[in-house]
Order: sequence, then C-alpha cells, then structure tokens
Amino acid sequence: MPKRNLTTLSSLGGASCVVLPLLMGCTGVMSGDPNSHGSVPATGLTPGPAGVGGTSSVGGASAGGSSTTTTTPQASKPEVDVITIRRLNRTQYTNTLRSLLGTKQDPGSQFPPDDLSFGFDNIGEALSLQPLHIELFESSADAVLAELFALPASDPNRMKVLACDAQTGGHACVVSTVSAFAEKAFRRPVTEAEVTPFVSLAEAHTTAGGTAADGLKLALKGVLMSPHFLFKVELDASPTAKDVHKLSAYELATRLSYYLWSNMPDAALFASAKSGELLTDAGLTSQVTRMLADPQAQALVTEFAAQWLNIRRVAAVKPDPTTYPTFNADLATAMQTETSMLFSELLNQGRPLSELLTANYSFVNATLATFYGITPPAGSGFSKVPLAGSHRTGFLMGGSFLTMTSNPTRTSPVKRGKWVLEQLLCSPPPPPPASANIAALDSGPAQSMRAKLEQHRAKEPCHSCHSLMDPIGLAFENFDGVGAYRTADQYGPIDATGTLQTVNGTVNFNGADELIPIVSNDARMAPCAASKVLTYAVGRGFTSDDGIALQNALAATDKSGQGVRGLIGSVALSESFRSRRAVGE
Amino acid sequence: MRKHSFGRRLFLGGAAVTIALPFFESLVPREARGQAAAVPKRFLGFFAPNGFDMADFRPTSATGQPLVLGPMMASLEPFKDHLLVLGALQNTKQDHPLGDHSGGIGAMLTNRTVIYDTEKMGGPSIDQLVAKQIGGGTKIASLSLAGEPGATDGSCDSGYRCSVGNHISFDTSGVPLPKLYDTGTIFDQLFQGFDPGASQADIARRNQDRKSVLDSVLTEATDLKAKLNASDAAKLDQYLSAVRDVESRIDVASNGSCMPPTKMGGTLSDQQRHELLNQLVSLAFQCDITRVASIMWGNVTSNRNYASIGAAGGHHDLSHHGTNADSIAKLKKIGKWEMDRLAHLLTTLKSLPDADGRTVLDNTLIFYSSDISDGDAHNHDDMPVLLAGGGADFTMNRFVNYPNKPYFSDLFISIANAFGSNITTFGEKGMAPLPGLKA
Repeated sequence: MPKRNLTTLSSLGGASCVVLPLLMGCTGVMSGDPNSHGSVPATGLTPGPAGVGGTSSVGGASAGGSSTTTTTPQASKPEVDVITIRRLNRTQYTNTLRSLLGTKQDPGSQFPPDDLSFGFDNIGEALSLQPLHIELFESSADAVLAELFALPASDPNRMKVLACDAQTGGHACVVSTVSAFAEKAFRRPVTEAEVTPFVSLAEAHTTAGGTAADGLKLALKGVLMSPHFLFKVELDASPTAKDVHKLSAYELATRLSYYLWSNMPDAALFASAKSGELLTDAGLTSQVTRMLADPQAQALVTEFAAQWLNIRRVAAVKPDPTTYPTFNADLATAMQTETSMLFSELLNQGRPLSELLTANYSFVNATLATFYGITPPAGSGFSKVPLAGSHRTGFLMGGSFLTMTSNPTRTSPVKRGKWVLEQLLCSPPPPPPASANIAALDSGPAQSMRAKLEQHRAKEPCHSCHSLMDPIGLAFENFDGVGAYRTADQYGPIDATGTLQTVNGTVNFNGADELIPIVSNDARMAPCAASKVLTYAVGRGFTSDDGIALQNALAATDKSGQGVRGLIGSVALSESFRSRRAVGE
Repeated sequence: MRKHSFGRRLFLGGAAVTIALPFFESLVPREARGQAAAVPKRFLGFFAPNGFDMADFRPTSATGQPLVLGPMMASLEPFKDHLLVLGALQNTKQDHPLGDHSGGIGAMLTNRTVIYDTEKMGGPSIDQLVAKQIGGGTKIASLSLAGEPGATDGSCDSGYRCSVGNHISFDTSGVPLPKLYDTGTIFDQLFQGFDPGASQADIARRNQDRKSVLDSVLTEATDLKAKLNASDAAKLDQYLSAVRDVESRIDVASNGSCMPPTKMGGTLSDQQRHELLNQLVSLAFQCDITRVASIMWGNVTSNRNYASIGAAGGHHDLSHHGTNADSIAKLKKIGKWEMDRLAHLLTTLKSLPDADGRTVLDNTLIFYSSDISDGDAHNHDDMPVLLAGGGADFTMNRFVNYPNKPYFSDLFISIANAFGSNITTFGEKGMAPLPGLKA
C-alpha cells in the first residue's frame, strides 16, 4: 500500500504515539521551548528506528487505529517522495496566459475550483482533468488569442508574440512565431518535430481558404491546448525508472517560478536554466533572491499564506447579521487584507515566523481601525500601526482568524483551539470518536460557553482531546464571533483563563495575551510551517521521506537569520524541491 | 428552422430572478418535437447536506400504499403522482469510524466505500453510468452543479480528501467531475458556441478547426504519455479521454435547438440561487443540451445560516441536535425549505413542454438524498431517499419501506435498467435490482 502522507507532525514528539490507540491521540503537550527551532531531533524527523517513518499520519482519521498504515522506517529510503504530474491550476493558468500574451483577462476565474488536498489547490494528485476543463481551455484560448490578434500591429504585447506578418511572411513567419511561442509556453526549448504539427494546423487552415492570420491563431491555440503547456512535465530516464534524480534545469525553473510566483519563468530564469547556473547552489540561491524581490512573489501571500492561514474563508463564512450587525463585506475584506499585509511584512522584511503571532503592529484601514477601536490612519488606504493598548497582538488576535473559526451566531472555542493545533502546530486532535455523544452547544440551559464546554469535556472519550483544544480556544473568548473585543457576554464577565500541559510543566494563563507566547515558543511551530511550505512548493503531501530535507531547510533558515523569507528560500534549496522520484518502491 | 428563440431574459441574479419563471412560457421545444421516439429521458442526482429530521421526512402511509406525506413534504402534495419515497435504504460509508459526512457524500451516487487518504472513488457514479448510456448525442455529457463554492482552504472532513468529500459525481475511473458554482459560468457552459447568425459553412469551418486542434493535441499527448510513469500516464489518460469526449460532441454542440436567453448578473439569496439552479437544469434538459445532471446543494458539513427562515445558526452545527428541541425545530424548518425548493424544481420541469407533448417532468427521473440520515446519529441506514418524475417505469405515488435495509446500489441497478443499461451488478454491494419499484 502506498506510504501514508505525513499530513501532520503530531506525533513528532515521540514515536510512542504511533502505537497509541485513538483515544490517546491527544496526550501531546505544548513544548514551550523557544530555543529549539531548527534543532528538533526529538521530533523524529530523521528517518530511523526512533523516527516516525511512514506512521506519523495520526492526523485526522488515520488515528482511528488502522494498523494497516504502520510501516517500518527504512534508513536507506530515498528522501524524496513520488510526485504526480501537475496541471496548471486556475490561478497559475491565468497568470501564465498573462505573461505569455499580456492579456488582462482572467480566464481561470471561470473555471471550477481546483480540489484541495493537504490544504492546497496545487497538488498534482488532486488536479483532475475532465471534459469541462478542455472546453474551458478552448474558450479561454480563443478569447485571449482573439484579443491578441485584434491589437494594433504596433502594440508591444502583440509584437512580443507576433513578430512578423503571417500574410506576407509565409511559412517562415509561421514557423518562427510558433517556435518562439511554444518555447515559452512549454517552458523549455522545443524541437522542430514538436513544432511541425502546429505549423500544419495553420497551413491546413489557409489551404482550406482561411486567412493566414486565422491559421496562425489556430496554431497558437494548439500550443495553448497542448499537454506540454497545461501540465508541468517532468521526465525520468524511463517510465519505470525508480531512482531519485535531479530535475533538469528547465524543470527546476518551472517548479521554482510556480512556487514563488504562481507563474511561468521569466527571461532571467530561463537564461539561468539555459546556462545551467540554476543547477548550482549559487545559481539557484541568486534566482531565489531575485525572484523574492520581484512583485510577483506576492503570490506567496495570495496563494500560499491565504490557504495556510485560511484567509479565504473569511469571505466564505457568513456571520449572522442579526447577531453581528457591524459585520459586512468591507470589513471582511479589510480583515483579509490585514492578514495578507502582515504575512507580506514577515516575508519581505525577513521577520521571524513567531512574529506572525507576536507582532505588536498591524495593518489597518479606517474601517478596520474603527472596528478595533483604535485611531484610524490618515487617508483611505491601509497603514502600519502600533497595536499597543488595542488588546490585540498578531494574527491570532486579528479579525480573520477570530471570524473564520466562529459559527454564524457564536464563537467556537473548539474550532479556534483545533485550528491552532492543526494549522500552526501540525498536531490536530483526531475527530471525535464514533462513540462520542456530541451535545448541542447552541441551545440548552442558558450558561456560558465555558460552562458548557467544561461539562462537555468532563469525561472520556471527550476529555483527552478537548482538554487541549478548549483552553486554547477559550483564551480568545474576549473576542466575539467576528473578532470584536468584549469583556463580557450575555452570561457575564468573560473568563479567559486556562491551563495547559507543557514540557516545562503545567502552565496557567489568563487570556490570549498570555497564551500567545506559549504557542509561538512551541517547538512544533517552525517544522509545521516548513512542512506546509514544502507541500505547497512541490505540490504533493509531505511525507517522512522529506524529514532530512525539512530539517536541513530549518537549519538553513535559522542560519540565514531571514525568518519567513529564509524559510521560503531554504525550501527551494532543499533536495525535496530539486529532485524527483517517479515511481514508489 | 433549427433554432428557436426564448425571446426572454434569463436572470442570473438580483431581485429580478423572482420573475424569471415566465420566460419558459415561450420556450419552444427542440426540433425533434412530434417525433415521440426521439424524446430523451433525463436523470438528475440531487444532494442535500447534513441529513433530515426523519420524523417529518417520512410519509405516514403504510408501505406500498399511496403517499400520505409528512409535514416536511407538504408542498409536494400536487406532485404525488410523480413521487416515490423509499424507506430504510442504506448507503455504504467510509473505511474509518470517522468522516461520516465524506463517507456519505462520496458514496451517495457510487454506493462504494470512501477510502481515507486517496483522491479517487470507485466509479462510476450512477449519474455517470446513465450518462454513458444516454448522454452520447448531446452537447454536454453531464452537468455537475453546486449551490456552494468549493472549499477555499483547509481540510474537508476528518482527514478525508476534499475530492471524495465534496463531489457526488465520479467517472468510470473514480475521478470526480468538477462542479460549477457560478451561475454565469453555468449559463456560458450551456449556451456558448451558439451563434444564430452563422451560416452552415461558417459552422462547418469552425467545427473543423476545433477538431483539427484537438486531433493534433491527442497525437501529442499520446506521444507524451509513452514517456511517463504509470501515475503520470494516468493523468494523461484523463486528458486524452476528456479531449476525445469534447471532440465527439463538436458537431452536436453547434446544432443548438434553443435560442439562449439573455443573461443578467447580480447577487443571489439562497432561495434565488437554488431556484436558478433548478431553472438552469430544467432548461438544459428541455433544450437537450444535456440529459444528465447532478446538483450538490451544499458542501461537506455545510454550515449555511438559515436565519431568514427562523433557523439561525449553522446547518451542520444545528444538525448535531443532541435531542435539543430548539435545534430539532430549526432542522424541521430547513428540511421543509429544502422540500419547498424541490417542489419549485418539479413545478419548473412540469411547466416545460417536451417533444412528445408531455412535460419534461414526465421524462425525467430525480434521485434525491443526503450524506447521512439523522444529523446527530450520523447513521447511514434509514436514509432519506425519494424519487421524482416520470423518467423511469416505476409506480409512483407510493411509500415503499424496506425493512431488510437494501443498499442504494440495488436501486441504482434498477435506475440503470430503466435508462436502458442491462447491468446486473453495481459497485460493491449491488447484486440485483431493487424489488417493489413497480406495483
């Protein structure tokens, strides 16, 4: 059976979790060691007898105790897992057409959403291709090419693709135009034999009485419908080759540009691939540095961070307008922008990952400032403002997180706690066992959320997991279901105190202010974030095979002193990113 | 001659949607009108999330007897002759004790076990099997629609992959069919390429161009596939079969029989959205753009807020009612609302004349169910199941109860047979047609 994907790092605290039955899935403690980043051998990331091997997928239902998932780790196992060929997802498709043709259209927005896997929409295995996609690829290609051919002859976007006149230039013009276009679209050099069928499309069209321009348009449409364009093709020595091997320079360029930019390589990256520099550490490092400084690296915010931090969900949840009359679409957008700008700051300024939670500044416009009860910045846009005295610090005390983890009419401390454990610490509690009687929290006797939850988790099978989730979530009870600060709800003053087990013993805290350092200092946070980055970067689930690559990336990140920016770069330099293996053992 | 105008606008949003229905009045059936033998049958699979309050859902009549509808289905009273409610059927679920919602969704039309940690189901789902049987001659083989946008991020249900938790339609290889949410895109999908001003020669030229491009990339993809390992080659197979499917429909796609209505934009309430999906599917059926469709009204653990009908809270949260009277009362309201929307669908289909002089409803079969039975118990037996329409030769206006809890797959064999397939097994469980569907 296939190796289980390591969707979580929840058992990284020790191999013992592997054999624990379901109900013991929440015995982990907060590690609380601020100095352990990048040196987390105890996490078991290193494959070996004490490591977690392929058994660490205790996240989600795999903790259900299926013994069939257990495999023995092999020290000799190659450290790069199998990847499935990736189709361009809808964002990448739009971006690529824009780079190729200069169009302002957004054809990808008309596509059905790409299925998520491991929390991201760029996973090869999940990117399906059905007749609907083909029809949409056809109509999109028609639309962007019609736009191109309608441009005046002097337009730079037109000249970039249509360098000669097909009517007067004849066969030579068609061949040179199609060759140049296919080389960009396929993101690698093309052979004459590859180009000939597209040229034939053009010539068959004109032979049948069509115009030369329409014939050329058809040839370019063929390129845009080609599997070499629609898929990021990576080849092995043979279809049955099992070895781990380095990507070719052009394959690496493509991985890199879709990782950092969600777009095709630009001329400089192609040049680095052509010269072979990209295959060297120095060459790759220099491209990463250059590309992270490019505005296109904002795609890491809009695609990676937006999915990791679930920013998109803020627009999808629908707080009840009667319960939360101040919430509206403008406010939701402002919350999303705030989180995006915070992540941008960490990325662009090379700030530490922990600052995601501890930032004593934020980015607000007048709408959000008013909602937070702080002085609105001058002007109509967003400004960086200090948060001192605002009751808020970092992402977890911002509107995005607090809203998207709430139910329509109330907060959900359980969802908030679960989110922190799952997305920040990669230690999701298993879902409630089938035997659990899930009492309704939405009704029943009028008592506070805290009282209901205490009653609910008083006994097993609920206690072991909820004693981890609930205190984390209850620490945020000073924020209502859309993130407005409050000191009391309808049941009286808010009690946001809690207790958590950490490696340093039992820690008591009062409110989110005191909880944040416990989370931001947890040794699981850095490897967790790194595993999310790696998943997004390579487009497949993170597995134990990536352990060494991950550990090296974390060490390189620490060494770089560049925080989030260093982490993004270190993952690009990792073996998991630069190599591939086509077939499993 | 071959094209007819609706002469109306199809409102895809905004308050105007509430007056959209009359456009159907002038809709002229396809050219095949009068040729009774050519009248197609249609199939719709409909998914409503989070189960139902079964006490209100279940008819009160004895098994085999004419329907005495429960309170939830009051608005279906005028359609009893087109309604067959089946009691105590069960669905398969998933390979772990958890993930009941994903288990019920992935299995709803496949009746196959949903497997943890994999993107694919066993396939095909019953709608896709029917599409293989009857969907060959239409512009689109089948239509998959959604009432909620796809999951934006995060995980879906208890670690089950989103692809098996957020889809009900799966092809023969078990790959999910992408579903469309945006009503404007759905509209374009149904009507694009339709050009009433084009001459036959123009159309022939365009079709030839499309075919030549697709032929060319088919050759290219076949060459590429030979160089790829097995799992990548399987992705190329998806590409190849998708291209072949589209290519096979090029001629029929340009031979539209209905003039598209004008599209209008705007935002939609839940009721407007549901009713618009009802209309789009009905229209696609009447115009023979497709004969098979599936609709997912919600995603896995849909938490839609039904505050506008006095059921504030998230639907999924409420469905874990814990026998709380207030939650149950809200669930009854939500279920009633969903049955009211089904009544709207049946009303719409019944208002559309079909080529044989009957109505489109007479030639359509709807299979309507959910992922689980009771939202709190999370059970997959005693499922809420109803069939509507006259598209199969079943004896309608009855409640039939099945105390031995047969699987959906038995019913799917019967449905497949009714649509001309001679299958005798379906999925993992189905070994014989479901008895009792014909009196």
